[in-house]
Amino acid sequence: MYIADMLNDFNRIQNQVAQFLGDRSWPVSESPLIRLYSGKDTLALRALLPGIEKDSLEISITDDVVTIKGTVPKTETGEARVVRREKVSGEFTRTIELPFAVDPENSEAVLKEGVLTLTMPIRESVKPRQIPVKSNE
Amino acid sequence: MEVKQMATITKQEQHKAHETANQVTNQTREQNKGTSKAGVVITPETDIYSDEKAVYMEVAMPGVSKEGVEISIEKDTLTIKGENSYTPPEDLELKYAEYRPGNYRRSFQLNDTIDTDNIEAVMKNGILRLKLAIRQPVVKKVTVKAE
Repeated sequence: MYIADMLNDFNRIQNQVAQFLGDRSWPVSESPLIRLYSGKDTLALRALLPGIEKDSLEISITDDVVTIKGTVPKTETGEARVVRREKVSGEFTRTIELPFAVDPENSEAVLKEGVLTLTMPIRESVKPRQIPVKSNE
Repeated sequence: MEVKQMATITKQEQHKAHETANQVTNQTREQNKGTSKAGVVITPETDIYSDEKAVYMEVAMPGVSKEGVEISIEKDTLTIKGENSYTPPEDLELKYAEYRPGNYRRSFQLNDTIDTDNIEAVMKNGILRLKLAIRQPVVKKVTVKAE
């Protein structure tokens, strides 16, 4: 079973519990769900943030730690009766530890169709180096 | 032609709206089951609410553009499909994943009070907003003339 499926199930159960308890704006601690990519010079982080406005998102990077803060707006139902609420709303903060220290100055964040992509160059000093193996013969 | 009292119609309307909303909710879980486990198709999280005039839906489909949305109605089944425009970051290798990008699909059973010709859909920031209008009963007043 894939971890994403388990997390999906977990989130769904959590939502149902939240609904049952009447707390519809459950604080989202596990969210957003992420994917991490890495290359020789770059790290990339993707996060699922449907419904988030660019301006309500706060991203900070310190060495090898990324913090994403934001608010998922609660659906404005006005006078309408809520029949079903599966989407989680409210404030969230997620801190992610990266495998390498990155350069925050040259990092870039793009929010498109509810998906955040953070592209961060790996700091020169921490890039893995090839160590030539000397023979002592 | 039916002649109804205004007050009754309003009550009936309300009742109908709620009934419709419930039916939308009582979508067949079985229908949506199975596909999500295949790993290619995701059941999108959905909020539903309603008033006398319409049933409103918010469907979360991150990674789907306006062009990637397909909404179809066949008989009493509303099907929402979303094609994920996902492309992995270039030249990078996946190291860690909590979700799998995939296409979205979910079906809902509609009540016959939904006016299927009057559906509005807006896609923004990965959220599809639908407004399904509820057919309003036609009220005609009949004037009774004195002989």
